[in-house]
Amino acid sequence: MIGSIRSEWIKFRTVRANVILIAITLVLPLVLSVVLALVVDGGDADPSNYFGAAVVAPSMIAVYLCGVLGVLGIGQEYRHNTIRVTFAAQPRRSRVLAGKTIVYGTFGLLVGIVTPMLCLVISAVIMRSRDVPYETNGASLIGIAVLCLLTTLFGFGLGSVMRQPAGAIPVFLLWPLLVESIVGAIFSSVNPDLVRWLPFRSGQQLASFGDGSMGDAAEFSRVVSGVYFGAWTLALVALGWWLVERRDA
Amino acid sequence: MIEARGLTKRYGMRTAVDDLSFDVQPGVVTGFLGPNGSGKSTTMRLLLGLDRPNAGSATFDGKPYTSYAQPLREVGALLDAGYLHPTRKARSHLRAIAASNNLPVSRVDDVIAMVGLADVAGKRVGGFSLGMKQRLGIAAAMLGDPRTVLFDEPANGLDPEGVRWIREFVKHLASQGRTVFVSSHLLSEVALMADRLIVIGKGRLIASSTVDEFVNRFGHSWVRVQSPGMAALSQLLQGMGATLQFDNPTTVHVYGASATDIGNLAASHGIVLHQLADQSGSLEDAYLEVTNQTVEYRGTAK
Repeated sequence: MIGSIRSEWIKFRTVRANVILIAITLVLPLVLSVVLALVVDGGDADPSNYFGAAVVAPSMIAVYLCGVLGVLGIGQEYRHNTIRVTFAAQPRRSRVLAGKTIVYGTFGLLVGIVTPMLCLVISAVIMRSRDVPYETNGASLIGIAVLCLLTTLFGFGLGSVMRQPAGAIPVFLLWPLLVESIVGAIFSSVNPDLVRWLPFRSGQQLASFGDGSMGDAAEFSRVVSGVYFGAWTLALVALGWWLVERRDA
Repeated sequence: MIEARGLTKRYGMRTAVDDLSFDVQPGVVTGFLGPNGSGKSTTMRLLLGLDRPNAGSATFDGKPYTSYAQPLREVGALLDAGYLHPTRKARSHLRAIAASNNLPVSRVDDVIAMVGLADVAGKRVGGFSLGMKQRLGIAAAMLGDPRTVLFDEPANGLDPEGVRWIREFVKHLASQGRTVFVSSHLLSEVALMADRLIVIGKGRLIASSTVDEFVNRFGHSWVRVQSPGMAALSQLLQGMGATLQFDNPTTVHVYGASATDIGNLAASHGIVLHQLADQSGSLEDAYLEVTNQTVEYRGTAK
């Protein structure tokens, strides 16, 4: 098992697309956080909104980029047929999948911890120097870490099911950005309580700040949202795992 | 030793491998021969558990491939030289494979030197020629110093010097007592390196034998006869049921009669012979003869 983890770690950091994506994932949120901390005007009555703007929003970019990395974690192997080399070297496919899950999951969790913390430190320094009121939300910071882990694994599960990143990455990005927006709007007009059952919408509640509301709809609590999105992630990873075990490589 | 029993693989309505059984013995090079599309690569993937068979099984030294936790010490395989990520460096590619089987990093440098890629080991494989990719694939197969090697079309893309190198390489592996299974659709290549042949067509076994047995069984043999008295001799030969094919008025290829019979016949009628020689078909003749009915894709020359 250790061998599979080491192998996946080598693969993870030796592909150019991954290296570029990792760099963007680590740097872009910090740049956005600095910019946002510099431009907010300090007139908002709710100081938690500054935390949302300078920490949560930039961190969400890292969350979704980690999900894309998760898709690529297995999608690239099918794209270039290296999955056959991988499974020829380790025919017990569950070990390969476990190795990938651990490597990508660990990366997602670390990004989910480090990115908002760095955004917090940098933006706090800037905003304090500008006398902008600032309110930190510890539960949101923990929620972002969990969300980043789950989203990375969600991407990995989707990549395992769909195999080709050219299809899986658009699905992964359009699901929360487009599909849930449209379906959410339809749900809202029928029964606003249905909206909280949308997986990504629910998952984002993990990172909620202020009063925790993302609109008119009644949301799950942070913990229940996390469990619900986690269940979706687990189901997708399990389906991907089952399909990879069953299908020809 | 590789043992395949009743391997069958269907893709929808098409049967790619059909109840295929064979043994591959250690200590010799076994060529796996068949026309394009005959099921060689599918068979290789079935042996390695990459494709799931609809029926049948395969074992390496008595155990299914999928039962090995670290198979590279037992079996090394080159499937397709193109199975690489183009932006990964050659050494990283090998290091990832070695790590999966807990092989020491020193083996990576050993096999890189073995295949002659030391100068480009730090370069991304997307810039490699097909020949360089083949060598990298062979290096990956040899990482675990395995007892069994499977090479699928290993000479593809190699220059003449590379083809000679791979030929000597597989012979050397067999001389060390390893089980060596090499597929190819190029007969000329197999003829020079293989001791035994497994020939398939449309996924079915056609022959499993030594190269000599294969030629003798499937290749034509005839007697070349040259005589100034060919007019008389040809009538006598036809009279004894032989089939004749004239090269020129004094030279004929005789099918269906042995050189002894022809010599005795000529002597008994006082006919002078200038040449009486047994001839046998090449491996290519035998191969074309045996696969003629099973070629999936055929071109037409104009």
